[in-house]
Amino acid sequence: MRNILTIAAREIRGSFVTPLAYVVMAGFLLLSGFFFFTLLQQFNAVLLQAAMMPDLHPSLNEWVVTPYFQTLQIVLIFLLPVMTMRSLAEEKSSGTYELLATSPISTVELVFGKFAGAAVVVAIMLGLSFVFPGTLIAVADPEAAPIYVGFFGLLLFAWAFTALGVAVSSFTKSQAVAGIVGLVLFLLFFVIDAPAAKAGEGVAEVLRYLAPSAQCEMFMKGVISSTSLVYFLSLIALGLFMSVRVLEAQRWR
Amino acid sequence: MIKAEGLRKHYGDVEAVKGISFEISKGSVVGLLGPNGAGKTTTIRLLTTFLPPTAGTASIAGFDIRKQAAEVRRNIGYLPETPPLYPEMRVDEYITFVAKLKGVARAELSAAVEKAITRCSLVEVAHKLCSQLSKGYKQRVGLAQAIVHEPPLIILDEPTSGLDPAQIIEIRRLISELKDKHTVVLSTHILSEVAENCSELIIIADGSIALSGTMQELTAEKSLEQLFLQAVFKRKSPDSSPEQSAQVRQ
Repeated sequence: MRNILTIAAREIRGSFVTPLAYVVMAGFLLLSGFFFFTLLQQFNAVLLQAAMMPDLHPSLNEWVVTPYFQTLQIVLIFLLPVMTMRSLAEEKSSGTYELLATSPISTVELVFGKFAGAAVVVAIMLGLSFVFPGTLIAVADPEAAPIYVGFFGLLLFAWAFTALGVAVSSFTKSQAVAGIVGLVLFLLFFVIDAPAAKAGEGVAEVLRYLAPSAQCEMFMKGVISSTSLVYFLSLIALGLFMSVRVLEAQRWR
Repeated sequence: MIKAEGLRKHYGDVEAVKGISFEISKGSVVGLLGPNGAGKTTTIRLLTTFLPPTAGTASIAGFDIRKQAAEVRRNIGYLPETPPLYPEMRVDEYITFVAKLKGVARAELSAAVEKAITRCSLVEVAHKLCSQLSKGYKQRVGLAQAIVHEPPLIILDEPTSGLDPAQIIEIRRLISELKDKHTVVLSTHILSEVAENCSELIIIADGSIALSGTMQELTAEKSLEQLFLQAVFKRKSPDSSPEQSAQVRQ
């Protein structure tokens, strides 16, 4: 446990004394602010229309919060590979991996520490973006539960891709390769349910289950679904397991 | 302290280390000498458990490198060819980080870090970032991380390569201070380095041990240079061209 904390603490400090984390966070906040603003504008237009039709009661959750979280998923797909590409690739290219691999810590501790550090940085980034839906809770009267739970779902989503990003980074010495491969794989995985419409029933069901955005839906309705919880935790476990196996296999080449 | 038995390492089809055996007793300073590409770094990587051997094994301080890697790692301090520094960390931060990794107890942490920093004359740069240091200082930080947990065995892979003469003298002074308390293995292809520091000598050529023994015995009749060239040439096939020989001589 101490070793995991040592690695994680170094990872977090390292992130905040180099510009990369700040650049990614600034980009994330800029994009999330922009989308939030656009969604609010649209909502205003809808309200004007609704004023003429007394039957319509457009909700802030449906028109702003849910699409906001959905958009952030896409932003994360693009930015998380940049956050995680350094993780193990840089250790290997700079030679510090040789120090880690000859220290009395296990590969599991190393990978857990790396992931924990990155997960904290990602959580801080997402936490900062909570200022936008947070404002809604403060000044308007949306349903609060779907916002909190939806945000929790988004955090799980981000952590799952962080773990997968660490795994991608374990394959290579090159940060650029890790970044690009990560982006391509993340995008593919994100739209994995696209062929479901034309696929046979059983296959379609599997594809829809695998789609990470679909697994966020229950959270955005304010429900902590155990299926989705298990889904995201399994992805995290898969990413960590792969990283450990890859690092250990590389020793034997 | 080290006992290697038939250590072998293949990288794919290439056999980098061809079954070497040797023994190093406690308290000695051993020069691991050989031309570039002879298998010195691979041998060191096997001993430090960075790479697993293809065949054979070794024990360090009584622990087997294959089965007791964690204990082996606790008992060695290792400076790889490029010092494994994090550019964005301060020197004292970095040494503390390594001390924690190596399992130095919390209560002894700051004392151990301070001692390593003082021993390697790093006090005036302790608050600088590793990326701001000159090559000589980086090497000293590398040495400090190797000794911070007071390991019985210290392994240094070409500790003076790329340094200027003044820096080389400084590193040599540090190494000579180490030999009172630690067993030191020093890889190099610079002969004078061995002559200055080492009590024992292992010459590796082409993945095998060409010559080994104590400095006194070995240099009784021949100079170190003669020994080295002889050892390296003996390994070469008889029909090796004069150009190849000349390359080795350089």
